Amino acid sequence: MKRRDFLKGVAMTGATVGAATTFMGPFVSKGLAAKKMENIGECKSVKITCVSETSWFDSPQMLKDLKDGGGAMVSQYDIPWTQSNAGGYIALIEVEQLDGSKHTIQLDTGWEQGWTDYAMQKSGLDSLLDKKKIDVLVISHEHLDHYWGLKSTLKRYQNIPMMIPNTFYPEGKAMLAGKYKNDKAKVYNDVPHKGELVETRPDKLYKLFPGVAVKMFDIPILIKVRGEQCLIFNIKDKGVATVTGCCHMGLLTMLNWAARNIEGYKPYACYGGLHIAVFENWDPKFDDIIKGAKKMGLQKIGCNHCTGWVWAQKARDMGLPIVLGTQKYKEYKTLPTTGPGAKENVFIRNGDVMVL
Amino acid sequence: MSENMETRWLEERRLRNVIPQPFSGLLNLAIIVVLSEICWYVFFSPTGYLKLYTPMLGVALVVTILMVIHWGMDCFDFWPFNRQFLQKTNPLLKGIVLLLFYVVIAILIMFVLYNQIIGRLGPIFFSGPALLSGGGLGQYAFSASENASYAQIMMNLSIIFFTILWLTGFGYAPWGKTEKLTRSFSVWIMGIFLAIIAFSFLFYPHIAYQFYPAQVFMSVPPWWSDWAMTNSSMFHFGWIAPALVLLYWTTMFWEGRPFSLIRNSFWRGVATIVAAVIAGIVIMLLTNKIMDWYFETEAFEGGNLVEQPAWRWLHVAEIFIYMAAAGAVLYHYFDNWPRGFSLPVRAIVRTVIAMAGGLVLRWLYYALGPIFLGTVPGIAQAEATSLCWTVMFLILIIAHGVFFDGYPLKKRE
Repeated sequence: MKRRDFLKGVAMTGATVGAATTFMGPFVSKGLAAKKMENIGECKSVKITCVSETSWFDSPQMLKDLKDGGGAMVSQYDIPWTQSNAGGYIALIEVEQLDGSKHTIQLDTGWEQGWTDYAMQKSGLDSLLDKKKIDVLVISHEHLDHYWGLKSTLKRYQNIPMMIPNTFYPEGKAMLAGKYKNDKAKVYNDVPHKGELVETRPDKLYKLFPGVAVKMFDIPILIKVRGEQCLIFNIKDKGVATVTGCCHMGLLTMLNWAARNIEGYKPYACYGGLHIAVFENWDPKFDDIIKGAKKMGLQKIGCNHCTGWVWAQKARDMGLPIVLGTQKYKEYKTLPTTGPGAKENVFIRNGDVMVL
Repeated sequence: MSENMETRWLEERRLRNVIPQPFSGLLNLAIIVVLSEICWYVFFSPTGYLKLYTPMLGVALVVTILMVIHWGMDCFDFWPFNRQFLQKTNPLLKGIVLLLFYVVIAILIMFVLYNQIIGRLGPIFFSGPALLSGGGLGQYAFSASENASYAQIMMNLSIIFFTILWLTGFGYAPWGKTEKLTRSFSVWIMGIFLAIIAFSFLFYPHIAYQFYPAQVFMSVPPWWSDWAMTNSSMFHFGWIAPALVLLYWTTMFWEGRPFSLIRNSFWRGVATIVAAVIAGIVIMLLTNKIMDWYFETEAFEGGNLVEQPAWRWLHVAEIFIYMAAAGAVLYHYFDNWPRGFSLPVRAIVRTVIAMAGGLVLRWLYYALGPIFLGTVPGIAQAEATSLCWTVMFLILIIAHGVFFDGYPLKKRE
């Protein structure tokens, strides 16, 4: 090939690529254009009680279990977890409607049964379950620390209405049926769920009550779990608040979805695990999240659990509205190894209450 | 036959198919797919024995093996193995010896050189055990291993890139007229030297800022973060991988063109470097635009999953390594078809086949991975990357085609 022909070829290719890119523009814009927005109504206020955010107490031990079990790609049901390190995640949410009526939602059901029963008793959730006062149990995702304490809920309220992502593995389904015993991972449930069960899909927004919705994201998650759902609240005169278990879909991806799909979206607050510096390690991508979150305009960030103390501290130092917790968690029988001695309590910890 | 100082072994070697094409190619492909499944299960699979796909430990291992293979194959022309060994030895035995030789060297580089020497006497971030023993940086066994593996990947990928870049652009110049071992060592050293320089400004800022607190006296903050929408050095994976694949295809598919049109070796080398880097960046940006359309969403700073910029850049690298693997299948198993027609036609057809084959491979990976590889269904999982499997697959194809002379479906003439 002569040099002149080569240069002609390069110019033609460049022109073709440029034209293709321009041509694709309308398709991209169409793809990104707002779909039909969903009106989820409004509620008056939301009160979130942190029943337990200590899914585990010692991150190095949790990581060691993970590493010894084969790493982040191995199924959680195949890892022999250290039980003395097992806690669980549960949040109790009371929603006040505009007419003054109230609804109560339980998000997740913890992990190790002893700890889960203890945390439920400390917060009064056990009593609410005994009296069948919980309107719905929303399981954010199938991770052990959010789901394996299922027996603690079902033994008190076997008919509790439940919502789970439709991506549960057979083991998770067997637990619901009360027919699961796993001596390796040490997870058991022999109390079958007998209430209404909704398996949520990613293509639908589930409106529970005025101003309250559940959105499921069909996403791949470590230790072979799939799918996570979050609670979305539209609080009158305040804006949209989200409540998450682990937020594996990503804080900003979740808020971006809400901004594009919730009618009248106004950023207000978030609560829960945000899955960033999970084991108090760091990655340059976590700085991206701080920078991105600043642009989102949230007024309150109540984070805990898998957010990572280091992220919450750095985010607060960089000007994000991290809500501080109290010292109430010290009244619990087991304390996490992260946080004690820190200059501020940047987590909403066990026993804390956040009102939106 | 006495050793020919001018002709490299792979240029001299001639293979013929035992059975005609395309049956030979299809059978070879089937065999290597089965072998790769066995290899994956034994060494990498989360449901297998060694479970090295953590993922970064597994990726570091395969990238290091690929680096050593490139050294052996491209830099040293298989030294210390002489031409008689390469010509006369039974291909099965030869293949096993060569593969084991390079794999052992790779393991020594990872677990002795990086882990126990470099990481313990100098840059600690290359060594998981050293990071753990250092304390104070929030490292645990798992994160230390992953962080050290990532640092090794960055360095070894840079070495692969600059070695292939030099050889494609300059050949063995300016040492072309020296003894074989002299020029081999010279190119080897040059690839490492350039990689260290590039590593210092492309990847080192990431490393300094991957710890908490950020090691602000060790490096500037990642200077690419505004353009890339991320502090992560995955941004540089995104252009280096397509640039590397273009260099592969310059030799494999385009028969040295267009750079071989430049007779002066210096200007040929400069043109290769400039073109490869620019092409890599353009391809990265264009592929990201295509992903905006495909995923119906744009990546943005702080986003997650397919909206995460760092993942987007990584996925560009993943896509082009799929294409590299597909290209290797075409080159080694289907005799680099087509052989006829004019050079531009051959070049275009081969490139299109490799690109299309890469996209098919990508689809197969996500569709069948949960069944055959033990991966989690879905795309963009934060802790996953297809690079471990794809580079392993690429290594097996290269090893089969080069070390084993394509045995048993090919024979040396």
